Amino acid sequence: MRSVVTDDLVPLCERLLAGDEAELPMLPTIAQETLALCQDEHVDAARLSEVLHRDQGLAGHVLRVANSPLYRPGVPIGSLQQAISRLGFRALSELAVAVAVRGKVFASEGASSLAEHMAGLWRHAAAVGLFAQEIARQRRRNVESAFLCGLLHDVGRPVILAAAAKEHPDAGLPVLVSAMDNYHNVVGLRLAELWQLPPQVVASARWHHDWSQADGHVEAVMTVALADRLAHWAVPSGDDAVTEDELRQLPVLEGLNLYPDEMEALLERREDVCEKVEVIS
Amino acid sequence: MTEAERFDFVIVGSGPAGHAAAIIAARAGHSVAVIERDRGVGGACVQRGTIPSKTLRETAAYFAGLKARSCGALTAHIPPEVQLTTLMARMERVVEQHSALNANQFEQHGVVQIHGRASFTGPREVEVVGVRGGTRRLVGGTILVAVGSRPRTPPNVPVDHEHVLDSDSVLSAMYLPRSLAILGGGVIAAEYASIFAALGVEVAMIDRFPRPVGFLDQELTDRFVAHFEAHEGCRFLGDRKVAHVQWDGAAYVVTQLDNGEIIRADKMLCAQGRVGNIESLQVERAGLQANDRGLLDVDEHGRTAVPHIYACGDVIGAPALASSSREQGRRAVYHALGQACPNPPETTPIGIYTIPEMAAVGMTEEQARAAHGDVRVGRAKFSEIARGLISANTSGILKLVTKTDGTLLGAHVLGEGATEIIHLAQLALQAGLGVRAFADSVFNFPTLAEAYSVAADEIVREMAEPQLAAPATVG
Repeated sequence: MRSVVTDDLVPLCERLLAGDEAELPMLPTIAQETLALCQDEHVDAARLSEVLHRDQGLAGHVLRVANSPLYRPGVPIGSLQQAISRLGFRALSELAVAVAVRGKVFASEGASSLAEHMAGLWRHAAAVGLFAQEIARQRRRNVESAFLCGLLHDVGRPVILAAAAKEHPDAGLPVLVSAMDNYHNVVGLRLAELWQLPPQVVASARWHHDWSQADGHVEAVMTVALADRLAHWAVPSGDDAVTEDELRQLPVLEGLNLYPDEMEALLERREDVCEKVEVIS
Repeated sequence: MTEAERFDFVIVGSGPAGHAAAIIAARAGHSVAVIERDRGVGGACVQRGTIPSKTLRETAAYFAGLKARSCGALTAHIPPEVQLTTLMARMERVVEQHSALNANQFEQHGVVQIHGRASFTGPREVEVVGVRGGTRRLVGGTILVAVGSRPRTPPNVPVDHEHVLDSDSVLSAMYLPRSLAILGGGVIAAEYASIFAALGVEVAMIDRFPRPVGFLDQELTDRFVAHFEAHEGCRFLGDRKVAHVQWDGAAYVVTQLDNGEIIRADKMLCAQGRVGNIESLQVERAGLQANDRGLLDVDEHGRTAVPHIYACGDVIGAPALASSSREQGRRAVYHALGQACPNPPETTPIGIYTIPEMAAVGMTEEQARAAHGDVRVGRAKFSEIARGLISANTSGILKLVTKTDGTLLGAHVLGEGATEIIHLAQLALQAGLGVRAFADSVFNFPTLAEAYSVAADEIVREMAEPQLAAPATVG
């Protein structure tokens, strides 16, 4: 029975890969505009606030996060413009992209088990983004792109899961997950292409499972590869849990030239990362 | 406990100093081990400094050169969405290939390469811990510390590698900022200031000294500042101290200077010196102590307070250039071997990869006057050299400083190609040639080397040479 349903999912995945854009979600308009704003030399806080206000749900969520203990605002933040001046333009843009992507790509209208799985995927993606920033900082590298590389490293997973659940509502979660495992990497790449994501994000999505084969942006790829394992350890889901001892033996540590004491410093960031994941979930 | 491995030379660090030292020692028939904490061979020079920044510089120089060479007929604009990484797309390959070449040279000379972090366990012994654990113990007849340096973070500058960067994190920034404040006036600050200025970024260079790269001849640095400030929105703010730096939480890094000036910029690059990578080395176990700048003190041969331990490169301080580090590495090994080192250190050239380049060898005019009283100076402007005109490299200058009898004391060059053509003067200094060697030589035409003839000719004329014999009359 399972194999028959899995076989039924193949045409769907093939359609996704064939570039049928109707089958793939667009990068949420607001996320797209926010990313573009970050690159606009004439942008200001008022313009960002204006864009975010177009989606009241998103604006509300951003304000909720901005008021969370994570950002320790001191006094309540009542407006997006105030949030921008408190948290910083970049931090708020990043937060807005994360929230927008979550709402669009990681959303689920299916069974509760599916919604739960989707929420787990989101928590993992957020944790990878946050750990990637920690690794970059530890290595004295720029942290700007690390979050996005981590957040979107497996963006194909929720997309396949949502599409498969929609087309085959009766298929059990294990079957859907199996389809996701088989196709997520290639679909994620197709999506990265469609969304015109920065090259290091594309490279990270493509090679983080096999970082030694990366032919460019190797540091970003290795950073995401390690962040991925750290996230599985810090925010375990399903049978992907990783132990601390396993983390200490990862070959990618050699690639990143992280010595044992530097790795221990990263492991100590677990609580902080988990706190941030909860805040943006 | 593992048994200690014995080597004639144990060299900690594989940057320019360690590399040069290892090759010379191995060539002399000694057993050599080189310990490198980074993944590749070459140290910060190859992995994070010289090679990566020069890759970006190459793009910036061509970008700026396009406009100059076409008299503005061709211009290029870098769209804001272009990523910094795309401007140095070749960097990873260049770094990898250069590192592999260095490693290959080690292999050919039988140098044992060990990847790990070294620490002294005693004056003669070093322990190496690998990235994935595991230790080795090495005993060296001579130990050479060439561990390099990393950017210094002053207490009043909040380096976060996101808004406030240092020279390690600046090259992994995602986008070109619109504006950049650079703290410092040394080599790294000047190089990045001119590179980002050439790429169209508004740069404010802030330093406590009146002019940047103060150890160079003032005529060169004055011209460099003029060239830098010719870029729209670029300023050199000398004689200023930083009172406070803060990310405003929204859009700008705000720098308050001690004179009350406020500088706002998208990003800041902090380039206020470097500190030696000696914490994990535990030098006190070898009987050494770092000085108050976190560096190791050495004598003129590179020897520390412990006679068989030498130190060279960035870890002993300025000028902390690849060329000077190489020189220090070879000098230390020659001394350890009891041999005289060919060529004095004064003939080691200095190359600064600003846009335009600056290079020097020997004494500045000021140093020469202090040492010799009267001196002669000859200049050649690149705007008076055919090759300078052809390549729109007209802001350059070559300056020769000689004794009154024409003996060469120093040469100073500003302009594209400066770091290459300075080597003619280096060889002349090493060979003890006078300025006549340049005046009487024919160089390829058109080349920038012709500047040597022009500058030398000025000195020769001043020396009131006897007139050439009149041509014989016929008939």
